[in-house]
Amino acid sequence: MSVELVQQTGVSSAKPRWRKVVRQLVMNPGAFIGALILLVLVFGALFAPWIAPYDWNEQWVGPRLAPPSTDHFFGTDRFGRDVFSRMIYGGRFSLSVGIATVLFSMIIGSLFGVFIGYTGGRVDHFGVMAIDVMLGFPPIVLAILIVAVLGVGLPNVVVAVGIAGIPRFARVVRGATLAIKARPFVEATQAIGAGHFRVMVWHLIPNVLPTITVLATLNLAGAIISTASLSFLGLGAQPPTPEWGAMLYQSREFYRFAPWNMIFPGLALFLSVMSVNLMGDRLSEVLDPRVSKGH
Amino acid sequence: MLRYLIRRVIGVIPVLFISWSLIFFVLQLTPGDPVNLMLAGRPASEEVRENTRRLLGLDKPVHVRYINFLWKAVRGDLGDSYRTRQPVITEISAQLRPTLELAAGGLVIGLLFGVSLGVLSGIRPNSWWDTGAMVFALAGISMPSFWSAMLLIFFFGLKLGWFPIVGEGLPALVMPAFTTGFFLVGNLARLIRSSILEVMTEDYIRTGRAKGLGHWKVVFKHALRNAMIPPVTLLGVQFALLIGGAVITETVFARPGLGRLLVTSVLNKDFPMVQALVVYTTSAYIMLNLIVDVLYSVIDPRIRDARSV
Repeated sequence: MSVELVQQTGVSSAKPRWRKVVRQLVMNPGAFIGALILLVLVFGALFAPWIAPYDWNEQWVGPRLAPPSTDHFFGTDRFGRDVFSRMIYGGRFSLSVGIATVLFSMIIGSLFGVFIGYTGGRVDHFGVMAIDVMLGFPPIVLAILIVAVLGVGLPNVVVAVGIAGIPRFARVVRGATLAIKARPFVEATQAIGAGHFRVMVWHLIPNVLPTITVLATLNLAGAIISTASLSFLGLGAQPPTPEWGAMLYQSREFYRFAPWNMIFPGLALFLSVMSVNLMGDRLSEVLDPRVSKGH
Repeated sequence: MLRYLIRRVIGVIPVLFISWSLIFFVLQLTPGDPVNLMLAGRPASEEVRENTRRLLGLDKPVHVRYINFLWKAVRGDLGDSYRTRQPVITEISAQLRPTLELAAGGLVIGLLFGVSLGVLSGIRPNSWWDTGAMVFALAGISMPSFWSAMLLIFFFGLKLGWFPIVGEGLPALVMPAFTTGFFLVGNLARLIRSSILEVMTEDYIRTGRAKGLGHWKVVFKHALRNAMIPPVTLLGVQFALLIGGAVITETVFARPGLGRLLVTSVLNKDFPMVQALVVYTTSAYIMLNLIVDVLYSVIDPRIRDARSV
């Protein structure tokens, strides 16, 4: 009974806030436009087979490098493939890879941050040192180093950019954990006999969740750009995958004559990153003003 | 102050040591035989392979190679490239200049436009200026640099012919510098705006106004100087952005430089080169962060005192 009471007071402060957060997001014009754009892109990616007029990999559905027309809204590429269809399908790769990357950094980084912050002492000392060492690498250099070891390919890019993002989550979550650990309800929970694992999973993590959410949104924009960048460098998605960064990479030899091959996939990438940034800005104002500063 | 400086410099040594070790051991995980990579698929007798192995020092156990790596790295020797068989340092020093030029160009663009846009928005919040500047800044942080580079090449290089796409000298640096600096412009403008907004609510601004100082004097003499402190502390972050920008920009514009060398070395599996480039950029990044920290504590002694407790 008393355990539940403590648990409820711990969580209840977060619960009604979520509804308010959604309302505040929708009321903000920037965040609203961002959410709308992102919804359209996600919708396109999910229902690609019904929306795309052609198959993403079918060659010679039109003439080679044809300009935009009513048959091919965004023109065709050098194999006569439909750029619009490829772009719609591309969201499946670019968006899901970005999300997977952030989830990877978020889960490992947050668990690590909560663990070292809660345990304290020598564990915390060495944990912070490990974070400092990882922050000593410029993120893109660390990601390229990991791709060098794992090899070229989209799943490896997720792991590489994901690992490079871990220390940022770990550092912020550790800080938040230290602050929450000092609050009386944690001591109360321990006093009535809750184990360390229970305290961490049921009491600390729910309370750091707003911080984690803000950080994840802010990092999603960067993750989409970073993973697409690696694909653009030839280290990620390989042809014929219609990932947006890889589409731009493949267009390098002919975009001077057929710019629609470069403009539209880039625009999709730009719009998705921008919409995530718009939502992230507002979310950080609403949920956690401290995190937004300096990021 | 001197004690603080010494403590910080000594504190950086273990970080450098651990990061170098990490780079070494991470690259040990690479699958495949380095001898095969070095011979690049050419047929070779067992004798030649053994010789190559001995030449590369690969016949020795890992811990001996590790000590060798550290000992040589401290003296600036990071081995020979698998591809050119020349010391990696030769090629790296040859490619350093174009990258530094690019980074300097990006930094100039970033500071020039980023600071002015940030100040413009910060002192006139919620005006049309502010909205325009912030939309521009949002575009800056949301545009993938390879896309903005291609757009610049297509419109300003090919269609309008304003700037050369390739070549040397200042005109050929304009578009690459904008590409590298654009993200920085957005990032700095947003940081400076929020920093100014925060400073403007401080008591000393009200005091300045109350004692009859003019609006511009308050803004330039009191608000701006204090508002610049947070962006300065993030100079290390800006450097990382410039490195990331250099990798992409050099590839799109086919410019020589360290970023492009890193990417081609990864694609060619030239591991000594990858190792050396990561060691150098990481060490430079760590040292830069140290310098920024020390500078910051000179500007703002509160930091130094807070950390020495």
